[in-house]
Amino acid sequence: MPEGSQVLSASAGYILLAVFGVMWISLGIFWGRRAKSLEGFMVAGRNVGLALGTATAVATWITSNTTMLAPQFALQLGVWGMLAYSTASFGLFLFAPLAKRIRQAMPHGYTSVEFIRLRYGRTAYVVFLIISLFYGLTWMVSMGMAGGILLEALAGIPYTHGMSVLLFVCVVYTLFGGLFAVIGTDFIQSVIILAGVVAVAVAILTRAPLSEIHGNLVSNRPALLSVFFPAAIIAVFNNMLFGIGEIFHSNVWWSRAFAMREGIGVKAYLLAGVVWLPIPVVAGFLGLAAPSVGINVTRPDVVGPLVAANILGYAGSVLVFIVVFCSLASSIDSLLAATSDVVTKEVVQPLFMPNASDKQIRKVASMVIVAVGLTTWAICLPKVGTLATVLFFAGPLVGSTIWPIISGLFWQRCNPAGAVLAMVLGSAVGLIAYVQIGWYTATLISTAMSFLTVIGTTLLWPRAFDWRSLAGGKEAVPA
Amino acid sequence: MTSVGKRHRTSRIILAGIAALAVDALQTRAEGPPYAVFINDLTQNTNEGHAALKWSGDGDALVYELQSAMEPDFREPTTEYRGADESSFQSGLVDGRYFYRIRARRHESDAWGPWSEPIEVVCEHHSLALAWTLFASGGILFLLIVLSVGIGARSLDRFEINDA
Amino acid sequence: MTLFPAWFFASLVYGGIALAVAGGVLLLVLLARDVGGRKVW
Repeated sequence: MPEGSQVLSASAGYILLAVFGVMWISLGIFWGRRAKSLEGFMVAGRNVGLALGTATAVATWITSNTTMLAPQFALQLGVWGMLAYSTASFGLFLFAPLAKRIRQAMPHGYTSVEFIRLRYGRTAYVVFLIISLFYGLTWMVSMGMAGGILLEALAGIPYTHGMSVLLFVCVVYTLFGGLFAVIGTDFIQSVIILAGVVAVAVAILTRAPLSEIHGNLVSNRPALLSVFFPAAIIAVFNNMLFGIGEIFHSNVWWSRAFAMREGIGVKAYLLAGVVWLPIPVVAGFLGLAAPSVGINVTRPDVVGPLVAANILGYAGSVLVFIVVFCSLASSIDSLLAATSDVVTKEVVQPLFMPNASDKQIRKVASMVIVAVGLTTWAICLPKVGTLATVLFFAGPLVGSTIWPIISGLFWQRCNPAGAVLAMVLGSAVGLIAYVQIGWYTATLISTAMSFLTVIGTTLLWPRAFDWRSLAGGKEAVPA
Repeated sequence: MTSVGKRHRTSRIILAGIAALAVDALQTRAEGPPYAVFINDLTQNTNEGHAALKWSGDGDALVYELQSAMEPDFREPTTEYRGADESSFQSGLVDGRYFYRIRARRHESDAWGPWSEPIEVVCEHHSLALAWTLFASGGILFLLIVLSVGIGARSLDRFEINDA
Repeated sequence: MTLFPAWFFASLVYGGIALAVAGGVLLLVLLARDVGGRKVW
């Protein structure tokens, strides 16, 4: 048990887990009444409004990384580190026009993998499926593990218990409520997280004025205020491209684009970017303020909760626990739903039941969610320490998908074989760069390689494509 | 009991008493000022300006003092921390060599134990040239992405997809 | 070494807090509007 990080008693932790678990599952069952059909279950009836559309994008993009890692980032890389983290919002901004295009082009679509398959063919589908599943599974496992580790650090709840309860709750309410439950709980979670982070920041300011915090940094940790902090400068675009790659390719974001009512997508994603943008800054501020409020930071990864508990006492500890739970649940449920959708529609259905009705697929979808949840749980159980490294491998993989996705959606002449090659070459070269040069070059090099490949092959060998085949031959509804 | 037995019993009691006193005296001598040592390597390198320092002492609930200095002789030391924690995360260091040492004491009023062997943290940030090169490359790719999404979205706005 | 000045730091922090508050309020207002117009889902 790491010293100094436990801010809540185990019994309090269990009670909070039970309360929120029951609440979320109840909501899942309640909203599940709408999730009987396949369309209801997977894409929330394609009618989600602006409020929920925006909130779900915000909440899903706030992971425990945002609330826990941002303070650590700021403590390690300073002001630039905070700003570098915020650039992840650009993925949301840039996805806005994509969301519109996706809904236009595929009015009956379900997943991003489906798009790649229709747009580029079989080989592309296989490559993209591998990337998607690798990313989805490693992210889910990392969130599950983070949950177990954090709940143990904050409240002394044993890793296995915390991790299992978290995954169990997420599986159950997603099982009952589908994307309705995911999006609905996202709204509640985003408001809680925003309120929580702001409350702690404001409380810090009542304890120590900004000038004092700034002065303290100047004397004791000057590099954190440096305008030219090399490691942070390096991180800026590497982070941004990783974020863009994550959002552009992942079915988490595509399923939301399919779920939102017509005309909502662009506004929702733009607003979401704006709402998400300040969170790493405010959370990061907690990390920078820690030394000034008399806290000795024992471990950088729990500096956020340490500060909250110190400033707001017991209430702060409870708040931190709730915020961490919310940020974990809001991401795990989305990944669970989105990854299960891909496995159901793009693996199980074509391989085992190509002529099944929507009703039958709906049933399969439920089973797949349980299966994916169990798989995640099984991988989380041994608590493999090198998981964080594996997750970073996702950087070059998802970076390589950026250009194939953009070209696939907007460029009619894009060469399909070129797109496949771009993903393969980009990933390969990026992974090599990761190992040989450094983590900070991997996504960059992968994206660059992918770009050159797509552009080169398309300029040399352009191909014709009928956009209507994305709509399954049916007429697409104009935006 | 016989008189011999009584004398044996008395000797045993006296021996026990002497033993108890001796043990007590030994314990008091063992309760001298405590040692403290770092758990880290003697020299650490960082190119991001941070270091996680960890230490321990021979005893429970000790109070530690962490000192830092820019010279190995600790000519002008700074007290970084005083308290019961057994680790401290230092960050925001600029290029340079930093020396740390730790000592402990049992209570607020006791004497401090001896200083530990100092450890050295060498901070050498990445070169700015590398940083700006990567920044510029990333920036170019980002601009290209923005441009292509913008142009693509604009050109398709005019394009009707539902032509029969 | 050039450091971010205090006013920049202050703007960043205060601006961030203000934007986060505005964001939360916006989400609630949007929800109220959607619920009023019965267009939540």
